[in-house]
Amino acid sequence: MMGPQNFNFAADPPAQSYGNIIMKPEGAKPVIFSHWVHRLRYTCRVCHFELQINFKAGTTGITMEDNVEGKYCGACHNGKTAFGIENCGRCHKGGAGPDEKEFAKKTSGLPTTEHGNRIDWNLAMEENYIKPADYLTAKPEKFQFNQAITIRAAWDYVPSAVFPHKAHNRWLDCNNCHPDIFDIKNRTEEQNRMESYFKGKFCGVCHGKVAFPLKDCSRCHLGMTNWR
Amino acid sequence: MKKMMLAAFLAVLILCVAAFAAGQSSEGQSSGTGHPSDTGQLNGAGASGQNAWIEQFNDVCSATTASMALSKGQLKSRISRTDALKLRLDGLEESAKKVYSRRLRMCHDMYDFSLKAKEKADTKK
Ligand code: HEC
Ligand code: HEC
Ligand code: HEC
Ligand code: HEC
Ligand code: HEC
Ligand code: HEC
Repeated sequence: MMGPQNFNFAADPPAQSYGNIIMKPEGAKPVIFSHWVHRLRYTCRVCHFELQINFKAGTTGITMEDNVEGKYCGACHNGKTAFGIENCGRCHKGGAGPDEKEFAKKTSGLPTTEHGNRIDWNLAMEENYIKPADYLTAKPEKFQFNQAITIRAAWDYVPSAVFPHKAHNRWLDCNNCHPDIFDIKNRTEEQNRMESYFKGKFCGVCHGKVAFPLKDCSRCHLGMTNWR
Repeated sequence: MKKMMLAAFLAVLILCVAAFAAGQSSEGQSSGTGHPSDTGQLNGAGASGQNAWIEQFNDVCSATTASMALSKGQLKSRISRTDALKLRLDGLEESAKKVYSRRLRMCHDMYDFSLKAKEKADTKK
């Protein structure tokens, strides 16, 4: 049986740093964007669907002009929804993001896990510990599509993985995955390899970057243990 | 009696077609005035053309999350409405265009994905 013993990972970063993105614009101090700060209040859909921010750091091409016009960060950092764009230093702070103390304060009481932010975001949402907003301007028509898929590859040396639509649709728009990440046409074996996910494809677009990391084997392969 | 009903039916039909045509042409116009550079209109006019476009976009594309609840016919109709909106993207200001051209493509592709999924499920039956 193949399992966690067959893989190698670096040690986890501190809980408050997992999912942080460091942006280094020209002519200003670096900006640290913390996913955990924002996902306490908004689903992924808000930024990655409504505001069209890409699932790959540095590719959206955010500029201050966009922000001032109310796009991207500026859609919320307008002095009403969140602090305004004139507070240059609060974003262009350099250094690290929010520290351990602030993290502990803002996330205390949430259900925990072993890796990543050490927060079980799925449970936190399911059990209403947090109620992140799902849209800014246009309310989406919701329809329950809760199909859980068992992704069974051709090999039997590994417990098959599950893909629950329900856990994802709470955070994401169908359009975030279909058809750009998961299409019906052109499905290949590559889609069944952990190696592809380590390279940031398919499940690895989010898992290992912002959603729980690939070390948490058991959350996808029910019946496997986690990497420790 | 039958003749009168037929006449009434035809009248309603003609009215519908006329209303539809009027709807089409006013949509066409709003995209024209929505382009500040080709009409030299004030910003206000551009903004209202843009708002009309965005309103229609929201109307067509707010159901991507419910796309599996739509019938194949409804999906096809949504797909052709996204095609129609695409022709009028030029009416948007540059930064809105950047965001909405991509959202429009994604929306079109999602309806197309759901249509394919339904067709695939049908052939399995
Ligand atoms: C408040 C806005 C916001 C929210 C909410 C948000 N993100 Fe992001 N995300 C961003 C920004 C900004 C970037 C950086 C994009 C860039 O640099 O082009 C980003 C980047 C990413 C990346 C790329 C990371 C990398 O290292 O390349 C992934 C993956 C991602 N987000 C997933 C998610 C997921 C999953 C959620 C929900 C759990 C989420 N995001 C919620 C704003 C957001
Ligand atoms: C969907 C709305 C939204 C968007 C988009 C958004 N923010 Fe925020 N942001 C907030 C809110 C609300 C807070 C306050 C959170 C709190 O204090 O609990 C916040 C807090 C912050 C903070 C202070 C906390 C920290 O991490 O140190 C920073 C910095 C920040 N945002 C940067 C950004 C940047 C950079 C972007 C764009 C890349 C961005 N935000 C996009 C809503 C948003
Ligand atoms: C809400 C967070 C936020 C605030 C507030 C903010 N910025 Fe930015 N700024 C950003 C982001 C994000 C970028 C793009 C980073 C990148 O290169 O990916 C950026 C980029 C820049 C750039 C690089 C050139 C450009 O135009 O994109 C400059 C210069 C800059 N900011 C100056 C400022 C000044 C001056 C202020 C205050 C008036 C300010 N910023 C306030 C988030 C912010
Ligand atoms: C985000 C979900 C996810 C996580 C976390 C995850 N996997 Fe997978 N894994 C999959 C999927 C999906 C497949 C493809 C379908 C299948 O084989 O069941 C797969 C396939 C595999 C395979 C067979 C294909 C290959 O690449 O060799 C092995 C072995 C495997 N996983 C081991 C692990 C181990 C060990 C861990 C923890 C270190 C892990 N996986 C964590 C989703 C995951
Ligand atoms: C996080 C990514 C993600 C999100 C969000 C998501 N899906 Fe999926 N979906 C998947 C994966 C993975 C599969 C399995 C694909 C495979 O194995 O090739 C799948 C499969 C499907 C299928 C079956 C396709 C087939 O092969 O017949 C349909 C239909 C579908 N999804 C519709 C939806 C709808 C509708 C929504 C929103 C309500 C949605 N999905 C949201 C990832 C996602
Ligand atoms: C677009 C981003 C994205 C992609 C792609 C994605 N996921 Fe997820 N997934 C999430 C988010 C966000 C959560 C919520 C939990 C979290 O953030 O840690 C989640 C949760 C899950 C859960 C629920 C775990 C639990 O505790 O119940 C499973 C299982 C899972 N993902 C498996 C997969 C598999 C398998 C794939 C690939 C076929 C995949 N995911 C692709 C974003 C994604």
